[in-house]
Parts: sequence; structure tokens; C-alpha cells
Amino acid sequence: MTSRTLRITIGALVVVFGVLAIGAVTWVTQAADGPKQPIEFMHTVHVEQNDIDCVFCHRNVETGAEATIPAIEQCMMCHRVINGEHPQVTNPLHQAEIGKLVAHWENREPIDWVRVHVMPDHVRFVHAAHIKAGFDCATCHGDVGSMERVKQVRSLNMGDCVACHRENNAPTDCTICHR
Amino acid sequence: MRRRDVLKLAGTSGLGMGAAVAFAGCGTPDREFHLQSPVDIPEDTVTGLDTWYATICQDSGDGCSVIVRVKSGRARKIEGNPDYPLNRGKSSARAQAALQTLYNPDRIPNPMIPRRSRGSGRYRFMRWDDVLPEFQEKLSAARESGGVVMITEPVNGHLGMILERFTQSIGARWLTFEPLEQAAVRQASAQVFGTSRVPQFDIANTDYVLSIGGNFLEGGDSPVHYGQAYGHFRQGEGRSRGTFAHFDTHLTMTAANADEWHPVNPGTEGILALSIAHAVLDGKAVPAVLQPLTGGEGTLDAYAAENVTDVTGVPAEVIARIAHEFAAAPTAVAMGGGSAAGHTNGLFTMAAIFALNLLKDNVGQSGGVLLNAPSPLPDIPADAPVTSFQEWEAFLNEIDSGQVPDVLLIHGANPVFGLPGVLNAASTLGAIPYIVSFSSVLDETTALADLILPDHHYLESWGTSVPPLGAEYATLGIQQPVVRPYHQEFEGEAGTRAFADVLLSLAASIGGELAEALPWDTMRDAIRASVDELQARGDGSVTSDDPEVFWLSVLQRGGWWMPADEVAAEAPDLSGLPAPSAQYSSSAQDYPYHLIVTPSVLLGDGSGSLAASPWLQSTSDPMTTGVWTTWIALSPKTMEKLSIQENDIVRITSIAGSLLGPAYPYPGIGEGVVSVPLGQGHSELGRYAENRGENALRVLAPVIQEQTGALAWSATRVRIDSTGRRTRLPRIEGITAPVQMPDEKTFQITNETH
Repeated sequence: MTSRTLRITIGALVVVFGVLAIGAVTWVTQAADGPKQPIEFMHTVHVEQNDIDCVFCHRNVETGAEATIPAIEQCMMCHRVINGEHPQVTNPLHQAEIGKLVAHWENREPIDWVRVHVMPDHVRFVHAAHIKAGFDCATCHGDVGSMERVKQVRSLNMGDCVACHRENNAPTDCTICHR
Repeated sequence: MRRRDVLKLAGTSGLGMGAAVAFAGCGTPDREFHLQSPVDIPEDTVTGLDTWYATICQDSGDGCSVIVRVKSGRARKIEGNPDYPLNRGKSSARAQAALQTLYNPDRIPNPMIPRRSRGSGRYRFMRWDDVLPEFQEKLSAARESGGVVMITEPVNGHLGMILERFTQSIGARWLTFEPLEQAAVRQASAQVFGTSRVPQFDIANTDYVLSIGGNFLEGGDSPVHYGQAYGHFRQGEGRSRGTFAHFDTHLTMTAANADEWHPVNPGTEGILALSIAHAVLDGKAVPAVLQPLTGGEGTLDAYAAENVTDVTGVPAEVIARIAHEFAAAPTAVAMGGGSAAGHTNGLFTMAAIFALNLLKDNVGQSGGVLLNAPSPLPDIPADAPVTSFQEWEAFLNEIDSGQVPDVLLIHGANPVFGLPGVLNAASTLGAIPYIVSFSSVLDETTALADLILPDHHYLESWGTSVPPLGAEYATLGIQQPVVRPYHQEFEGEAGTRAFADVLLSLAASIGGELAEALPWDTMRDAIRASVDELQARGDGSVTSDDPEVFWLSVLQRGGWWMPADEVAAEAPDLSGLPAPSAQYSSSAQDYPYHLIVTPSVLLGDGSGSLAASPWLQSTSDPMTTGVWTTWIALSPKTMEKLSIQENDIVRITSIAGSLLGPAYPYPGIGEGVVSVPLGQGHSELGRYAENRGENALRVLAPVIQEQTGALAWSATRVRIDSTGRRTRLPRIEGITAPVQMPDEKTFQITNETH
């Protein structure tokens, strides 16, 4: 190997590793924070500061398969009063984001959120059963109340589900989840 | 960390670029990462359980109403709508399989234009706003010169009304396409019963059904309706079991259900019907209205059972016995259709069969022939207009002779696939300089298009249907979107748009007379206006003083209906019928066999997109159990004569072309008849349908029924040759011999063992 090809090879390797390192940093920073949402909804404000119960908004979680994302009407129960111009809302970011919500309500436009937890179509996960068995939302979702942007904290893949079912003596028949 | 984040990472790192490109097609589509906050708190999803919505099924061909189980915005299961008068809770395999046309991976997700040139088979995705202005410009320009042609499926209801007004206002020619034309059935019905809407045969309440080619359990106006009526006919509560005699060229599923089936020579079904009429009259004079059937003789003696046995192939004693049973039954009904209506003498045949009902004097009687109620709204057509084959031929000839239209619009019809191959529809239509297709899958005709504006699936869009059978109730069935469009217009994805809505928005932007004729912004508005009219009537299945409550209740039940008034029909007029004997495409010497094409119970005649559904493809044909391909059903005697073995690939050749398929020995078929199922043979239509089996419509000879102008699709004669090659027909029946378990004694479950 001539010194010229050696230099090129080393150069190329440096570039490759450099690029990989940037990629790894991107990975880590992305993993540290959930996806950006159309409205910067803050669980910190609602759950940590104002102590609103999960079920107040995710109202189906105790009765149905899905916790469900609240309708705008539900948000407006409070934000009709606490709108962007409310004197207690002093943070400009909060003012702007509440303004977006009110605009959606006034234009009667649904909000398209970015989904954080996605189950494949062949999995049937029923929230109600797990809540009734006494699990906290945080068991799977982590401490959402302290997240500025919600992110997934557990793998929630089949291994994860089966391990937890075994630990808790829950059935592990295929048809429990796949049907 | 989601898969797409990995891909982003791979993309940014450069190294993984190749991998990103390779895997971009896998994994969860981006749209599944959207989750919506509706504006209002939805009342119907409070528990997170599934919700059922009523709508109309457009795949089953008869406009049955279905209820669709929707959960998390996805359609999961389809069943019949228990309230709807036509199908009362029952549904067909095609309705059930609609989930697979909805979520078909080969649906066209965005507007497309061909790359480089038309027919290159490669397309570029476009945005609606980028393609609509040019389309509108070309349409407006062509409108000035009167050069717009619209081709659709036969369609009634609101879409039928909108198409009629749209084409009239812009001076366009509107052609509809029905591959196996039922013109003879409709015209015979008009002449015998005085109404061109084929009446409802009340088999549920009759004692005796005589069917000559009428395969009502698998084809005809509504197999779902008749299937249910048939159940009542056989084992309904409070009545004795009805008797069913069937004549046809081969043993169809309906024939297999009959108490007795007798093969009849193709094209002689009308002669058989008159022979039965002769025996029913039993020496009495022929009634005046039936006189035209005697051919000027004044009597039907020429049709005495012993005189027609040789022609029809039905023994004289069978004719005499069945005629006696038909005459003696307290109520009886005579039905016809199927391949009998597709001969050159189809009109004579159908008139002769239907006339048996006049002898029984059962029109308007329970257990007889019930005339359909008209559409509940005068503006909304119940009839779907059908363009005859003769007009189609004339249209193509005009193009060949240089009168080429400027713009062709296509929706829901596939003439390139369905017209006989000798017409060369593809190359003729290809001469039209600008072709726009609204198809949601790439079919053979859409492959010619310069612009594809994909339609929503019917589970995603608005529409209405006036059912083909509606003697008891005047009905307007409503098709509502039950799920958000799968390919929605969203963040850079252009998505699909409802065909009717595209037409309505075009009408609004072109303006003038067109906008006046079509004053609605969307199909939903048009339907809402009609429903408001129904509300003002204050009667029917739903009543309310509040228009909003009325509208929601109508949507909830799948439509609106009210008991029908008695229908006044015109007097029978049997003049102008063709000669009793059928004509054929070619001589019996060169082409000794009759080709009878049979629409598949599952895939239909192949003109829709049903073949793109793997569920329908893999559901066994009820008689042969064949799946996924086309076979050629031959009598075992014919096979012996021609030294053909089962699974030999044979070629059947008509004057118009030839096709290949595995020979299937079918004892329920006459020696002179070859039966080929339809539905396959697509060169397009996506991964599940293309290059599978053969399309028998292609080899039909262009023989015309003179009186109706329809294609005589049973008039093709063929010859059969062995190719010397073999294959295996995929099927369930008879693959392995039934064997008993060798050593173990098996025990039947009885009361003692339990």
C-alpha cells in the first residue's frame, strides 16, 4: 500500500467515523426528547403544576381499549377561560400555544398530533384491562407529568409485554394480544 | 426510537443512504404516526369500543346496505344491514371483501401522470392543484368543440343524476359499459310486464319456481336478496317447502340447489318455455297477448313437447311433467336469465319465459311477479342507463374513421378489458389525445390515461343507491363515509378525492349553465338536499320535525324507505320479437362447441376491481372449487372424444381469438358446451390480479342481438385443441382421495359419551 492510498484510506475512515459520530449524537438527542407536536402541549404544566388526573383528558382509559386523545372541546372546557390573553398566562410561549388551540377551536379544525406510541395492527392492547388490574399509567408510559415533550420510555415490543405478563401471572396465550 | 428515526439517522450519516433507500418502503407508513384530536367530543367512541356505521356496498353490484365495524378509524368487518329492505342483514362475499379493496396496497394514492409517454407503465405523483387547472382548461376547450366523452359504469342514484346533468350541460357524450349486457332481460320485462325495471320475483312466498337459465342465487339482480328469499321458500316458518325446477346449459350453483336440473341445448331455452306454455294451456286457446309468440300460427302446437325434444334436448315427459306441476301449483313463478339472455334470440327467449307468468296470471300477486316501486325522489334515477354494444361499436368506428373526441373521462368502467378483443378498444381509444381516468386502481383502461385522478373508495365517500329490487318499499339507500380516506390529503401527500366532488368543483369553477345544473359544493350537500325533501314528506321509515334529527336517523339506518304503492304497469306487448332460433358466430363444422362464459360468483365479469382482492381470489368457486385462475369446464364425454385429460392445457379458439386454460372435467355440462368462468385475465389491476388466468370476454365474437343492439355474448362458437402441455388447476375438491384412519377406531360423539 503506497502512502498515498494509505492517506486516502485513513482520510476516508476519519470522514466515515466523523459522520457516524454525528449520527450517534443525533440519535441520542432525538431519543432524549419526543417528537415535536403541532402544539407544544406541556404535560408538565397540566400534570405537575396543576395536578390534573390523566383520566380527566384521556377519558376512555378506564373503559376502553384506547386511552384516546381528548377532543378540542375537552381542552376548551378550561381554555375557554384560560385563553392566550388570560392574565395568569404570562409565558409568551404558553400564550402562543394556547392561541393555536383556540384558533383550532374557532376554525373547527381538528389537530393532527404526532403519535408517540404505535402498536402494530396485529396487536390488540386494551388499556382498560391494565388499569383495572391496578397498574399506573407510569408503568408503561413513564413519568409523563415531567416530560415537556412526550417520548416512549419502554420498548413495548412483544418481549416487553410477555416479560411483564409473566411477572404478574397474566396469561401469555397468543390470542390474548393477537386476534 | 422509531424505525423512521433510524432511517433519518441513517440518512444523515451518509453511509446508510443506500439502506435508507432500500428500506424506505418497509415499516409503518408516516400517516400512522398521526393521531387526531377531533373538534367535538365524539359521543360514539366514548368507550373506545368499536362502532358500526351503515353504508351502501358498491362492490356487490346490487347496492346492498352494509354495516361496517370501525375502530380507531379503521374499517375492520363488514356485515349486512339488518334494517335495509333489500338485503335484511345478509351480505355477500364481495361485500365482506370490501376491506381488501379499501386497504389494497395497489390503490392509487395520489394524482398521477405517466412518465415520458402514455403507456410507459411508470408514473409521476402530482398534487391536485398542479393538475386540475390544465384538466379544466382542456375540458373547457373540448367542450366548445363538443368533443368530450364520459365513460362510466351503469350507475343510478345521486351519482347517476350528477353524471347526467354534467354530461348534458357540457354537451358531452355519456357512455356506460356493461360487459354481459342484460338488455334482452330488460326489454323482455318491458314488453311482458310493462316496466323496464326487471321485476322482483317473489320466490319467498311462492310454491313453485320454474327457472330457465335464471341463476338468481349467483347472478342476476341481487343474489343476496334472492338467497334470503330462497331460504324462506325452502324452509320458511308457516309455509310448506317450495319446489324448484331448473333448466340451464350447465349445472350452475343455482341449478345444484334445485329439486331437479335438466340440461337444455344453448339457444333453445325460449322454445322450451313455449313448449311448457303449450302443455300448461293443455288444449285451451292461446290468450290474445301471447299471440305474437305463436309466430302467426294462432296455436303453439308446433311447440308440443314431442316436437321440441330433439331441438332442446329435454325429454318430452320432463316437459309435460314440469308444465303440469307449474300449472297445478297454487302459486308459481317463472324466471329466466343467464346465458339464455345472451343469444341472438335472447329477447324472444326471455319474453317466452316471462310470458309463462302471464299464463299463471301472477303479476302483482304474492308469490308471483312484483313490480318495483319507482325511485322515492323524482330527480333521482332508479334506472342505470346502459349503452348498447351496437353504440359502442359505432363509437369506436367513428374514432377509427377520424372523428376523434378531444377529451375522454373514465370512471368505474373498463372497456379495454371488457369489450371483445376484435374491437381493439385499446388502440382505438388510444387515439384520443387527452384521457383522464378517475379509477382508484390501475386497470387496463386507466393504463391509457394521461392523467389519473384517483377516486375515494366507497367506504370513504358519499353516494346513494336505489336498489334494483324494491317491490315492497320505495327505497333510497345512503352511502356515507365510514372511515377517513386512507390516502388522505395531508402534509405533502396529495391523496384521493371523491369523483363526484371533483365533478362538482369543476362545475362550480367552469360556471354558467353547468354550475346552475349542479348547484352543490359536494356530493354530501346534494344528498342532504334530497334528504331534506324526504323529511318534508313526513312519512316513511324515519320521521322527524327536526331536519338535523331526520338526517342523522336516516344515516344511522342506512337510508329511507316507505311501503310502496301499487305500481301501474303498461299492458303486455309482445310484438317485434326475433325468430325463435339463435344465430351463431360461425359454422358448427369448423367451430363445433358453444362457448358459455359465466360470471364468477366472486369476481363477477372482471370489469371491476374485485380480482384485486386476495380474499375473493382465494375463495373457492362454489361448483368446481377452483381458485386464483381460469379453467375450461368440459363434459367428460367431450374430453374422452378429444383425448383430453384433466389438467391438460387446452386452447379454445373462436373466430375472434383464442385462450388457454386447464381442462376441468365437469359432468354437469352438455357435450356441445364449453364453460369458462370470467373475472381473471387482467394485464393490470395490481399484484393480486395481473397475469393470472384468461379473459374469456376477449374471445367473444361481436355478434349483435338485432332488437336490443346488445352483444349476443352466448353466440360464440369455438373449437378445442389440446396443446400437449399440462398444469394443475388449484382447487380444493378431489386433490387427495378421502381415506379412513388406518389403525385407530374413531368414535362418534353421542349423548352417552358426553
